[in-house]
Amino acid sequence: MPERSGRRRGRPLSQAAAWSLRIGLFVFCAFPLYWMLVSSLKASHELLASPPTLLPREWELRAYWKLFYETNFWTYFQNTIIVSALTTVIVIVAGVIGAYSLTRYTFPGRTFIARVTLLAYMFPPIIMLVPLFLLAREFGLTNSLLGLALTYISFALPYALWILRAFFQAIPVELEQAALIDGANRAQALAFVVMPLALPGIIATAIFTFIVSWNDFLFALVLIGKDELKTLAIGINEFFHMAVVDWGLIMAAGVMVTIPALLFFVAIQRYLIAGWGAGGLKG
Amino acid sequence: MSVRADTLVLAPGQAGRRRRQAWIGIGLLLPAAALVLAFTIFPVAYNVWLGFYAKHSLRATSAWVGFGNYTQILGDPDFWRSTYLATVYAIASTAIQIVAGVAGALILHQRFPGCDFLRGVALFPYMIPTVIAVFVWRWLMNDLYGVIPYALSALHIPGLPEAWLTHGTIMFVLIVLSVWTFFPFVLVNVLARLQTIPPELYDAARVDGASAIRQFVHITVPQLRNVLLIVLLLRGIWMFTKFDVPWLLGFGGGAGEAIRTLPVFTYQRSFTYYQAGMGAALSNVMFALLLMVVTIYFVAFPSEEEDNSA
Amino acid sequence: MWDTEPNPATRAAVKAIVDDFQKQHKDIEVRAEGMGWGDMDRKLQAAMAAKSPPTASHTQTYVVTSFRAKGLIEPVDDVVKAIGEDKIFPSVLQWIKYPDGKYWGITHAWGTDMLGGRGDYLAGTGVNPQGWKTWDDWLRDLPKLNKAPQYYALSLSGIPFFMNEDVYMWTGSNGGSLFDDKGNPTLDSPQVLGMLEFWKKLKPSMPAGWASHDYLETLSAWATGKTAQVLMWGRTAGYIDQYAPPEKRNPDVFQIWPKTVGPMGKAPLTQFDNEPWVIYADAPADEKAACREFLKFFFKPENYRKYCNSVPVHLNSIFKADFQDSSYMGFPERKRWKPWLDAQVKWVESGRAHPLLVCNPQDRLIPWIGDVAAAPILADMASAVVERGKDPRAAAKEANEKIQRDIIAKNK
Repeated sequence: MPERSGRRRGRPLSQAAAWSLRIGLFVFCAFPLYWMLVSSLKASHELLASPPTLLPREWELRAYWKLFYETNFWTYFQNTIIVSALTTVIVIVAGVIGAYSLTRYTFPGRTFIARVTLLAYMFPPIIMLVPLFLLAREFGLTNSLLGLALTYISFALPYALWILRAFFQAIPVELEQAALIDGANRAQALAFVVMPLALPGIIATAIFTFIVSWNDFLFALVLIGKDELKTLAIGINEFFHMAVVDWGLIMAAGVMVTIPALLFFVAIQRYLIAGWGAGGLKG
Repeated sequence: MSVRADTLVLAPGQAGRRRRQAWIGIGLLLPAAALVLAFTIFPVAYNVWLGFYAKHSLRATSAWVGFGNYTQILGDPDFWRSTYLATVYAIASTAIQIVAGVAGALILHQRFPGCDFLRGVALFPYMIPTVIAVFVWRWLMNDLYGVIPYALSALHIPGLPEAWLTHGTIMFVLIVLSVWTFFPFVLVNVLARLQTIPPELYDAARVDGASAIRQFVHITVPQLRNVLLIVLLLRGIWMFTKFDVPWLLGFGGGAGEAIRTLPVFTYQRSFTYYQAGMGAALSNVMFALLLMVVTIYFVAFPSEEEDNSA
Repeated sequence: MWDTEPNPATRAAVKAIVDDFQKQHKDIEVRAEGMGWGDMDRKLQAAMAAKSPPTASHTQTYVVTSFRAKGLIEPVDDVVKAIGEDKIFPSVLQWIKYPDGKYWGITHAWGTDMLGGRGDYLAGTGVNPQGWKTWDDWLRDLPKLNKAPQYYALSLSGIPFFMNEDVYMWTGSNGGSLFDDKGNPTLDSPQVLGMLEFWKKLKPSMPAGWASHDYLETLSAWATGKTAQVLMWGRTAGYIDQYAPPEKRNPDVFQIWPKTVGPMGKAPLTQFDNEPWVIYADAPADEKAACREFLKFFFKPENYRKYCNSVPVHLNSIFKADFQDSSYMGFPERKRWKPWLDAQVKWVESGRAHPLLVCNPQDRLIPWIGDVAAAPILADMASAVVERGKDPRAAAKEANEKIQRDIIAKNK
């Protein structure tokens, strides 16, 4: 269904139904976030109050203070941004080019190659741990953010290829043909005709890839030993293993890990809308 | 009635150009494919090889057992139970994730005040680190401090369990928690696809007098089909092989024995029983099971190769 | 060097010691990493598979047995002698000395498990914990301490590792053992079956969701008053400081109550945590030598004191004299929680604090004891009986078979 503008007259009942669905979705997704936020602002002895309190009786920023001044959180944050950005950019580039190749060129074995990339997904990542570590050591990729990025890229690429392929398949070939007849070369056709129309799919790929590298714990644990290179996931995991686990600190870390990424994605929502009509061809 | 999407015929009879196209095609795909295969082939081969040995995870020595690991696995009732649990978990959580994700995408496909914000919030469950997500849910469902049991009992709903995280109901909690965490993946992909459906299709249908439901069934669903099938396949595979969520919720024992899915069982053999060879064999069995399912999927849905646009 | 104390205070202490050491030994670089046990296990497995273990790491006592049997570690007699063999608690040394007379690890710090109880919940109940001698005494008084749902009498952890602890501590307190002298499991013995029956009787006094509670939840429950009793270790003091109301943070409220014996036992048994540093044989020779120098430096009084002070009531010093030393005992945390320290020292001196799964002292020499400790077989047996009503004899027999088939057969 196309996007309807808010000015459309809706019958009151269906408007009420629509709004209750929207609110339901909001509560379902946001309630645990609310709980995290509120817990990070509670005094420690109120965190485990029984019956539980929905609003702090005493508000304090102690957990955030501790997070930024007593832990290496900021370093971990920077490392994770670097790895995630690197991974996402490379996956988008390689994924777009690869998916374009899979849909617009014929060559022997292309279906086979596409399907074989799914192989890696069929083992639980935890089992891949030891062989991946051995592989990384062979190529000198341990204790490097680049090595970590390569691992994430190899994990996200199959998904990127599959999803982008589906999006490219939905774009009629005639649009590119028109552009080529007008004198554009392949690369320009890809960049100016296909990509804008597939932008939502590219954004979806970017979201998935970013989250994979933002949140991964297992491979970062095994590949990174040096403290100054650790990522957020490892840092947060360590909070669970301290002599005295500070639940408030963990909640504060959870908030700080999610909110920035969340704000970023809210900001790019407007780009999820495709620029349809750019081609000018009748359906 | 249009040209196959996979062939851009530039001029008739240009066989040489065709061949060059093929090489360009392969060349463009090569870096991506090479990287993925490098990080895939070696671990897969390593696991297949290791499955034929009995190897202690911390000692260097290993002993050849051939198919010994596999015969033991197939005769172990705990293995079958874990496979059963993993199947239940995968099917239930994937199905509900798909339904919730499509529903969420339909809700978010409209413009209304706050829709940008809600789209960000809907992504939130997928975005937080798994360990924190599971931990928060454990806290919310805790029998001593949990807000949800407290609220439910305040509403005087009959028949509630005394504690949710016991062997009888922990699988239910696991499924709800998994749906919450992963349905945004479905939502994002479906929403993205919804937004590339040409509005003209709906305009034409409305002019013809089609109701919203008919529009959904005859326009939306066929357009979504390819993306939905991919999402279904990937989520199914990922939920079946998911280790960290059932592990962090149940710790592999106590009440968690009721959610000792195959990945958890495999992990325990490898890392807590210290039997790396057995762990590798188990993951090979998991792989074989998934391969069968995926093969059936490709036989049932071969048309992802065909052009599907109007 | 990999250790299992990732908290900031200990990291700072270790860093200070490392910095001092490197000043004196300019040609040696020490990289000390702290991490949780589960993570240590995974990293160690990956490292061993790549034949590049760390130079040294913390490990559990029972793991020393199997590592030693496979030639993976080296003895540390030189370190122990340099530190002063006679200065260390004998019951610490007994668990790291092997029949060949050598020391195969050096304990970094020790602690014992204790039964903690809320003194403020005794008022009006007529319960006198100090009078408890047997399980029957305890079971008789548990209902008096149970005011569900406001608070429960006892909170146990439902994680396999901690359930295994309860299995062997109570079996040992019931005069039994988990293994015979050949290392075969004896779970269908009367003492173990008696332990399972006993555990069933505890259930009405525990929260309904106990089987999903992890260890730290039980500590928080005790600190916030949701449970009257808990099985705990020294670092609980930190939890109390963090989560209990300010006026209650003292050992008058948070007391140590006695452990009791079963009908077939003579003396209660508790768990002894004395994780040793071990040095890996596969590390380069010069690194191993440097590591030994570092360990000797680490245990020098001025350095070791910093380490122990980072988690004061939990990381107890291996040196007997420290417990008579006013500068050690005068440390604020230790002074405040003195009854807890006294209780632990009493256990260590009584000789009834044993490492995990070791009911009879010679059990620690069983090659597969470490595998059984990490596996969920014992925990499955207990939860089948307590939570799902399985017949104890049947559950015990099944567990015996699983240990034989899945662990012992693989170890031969």
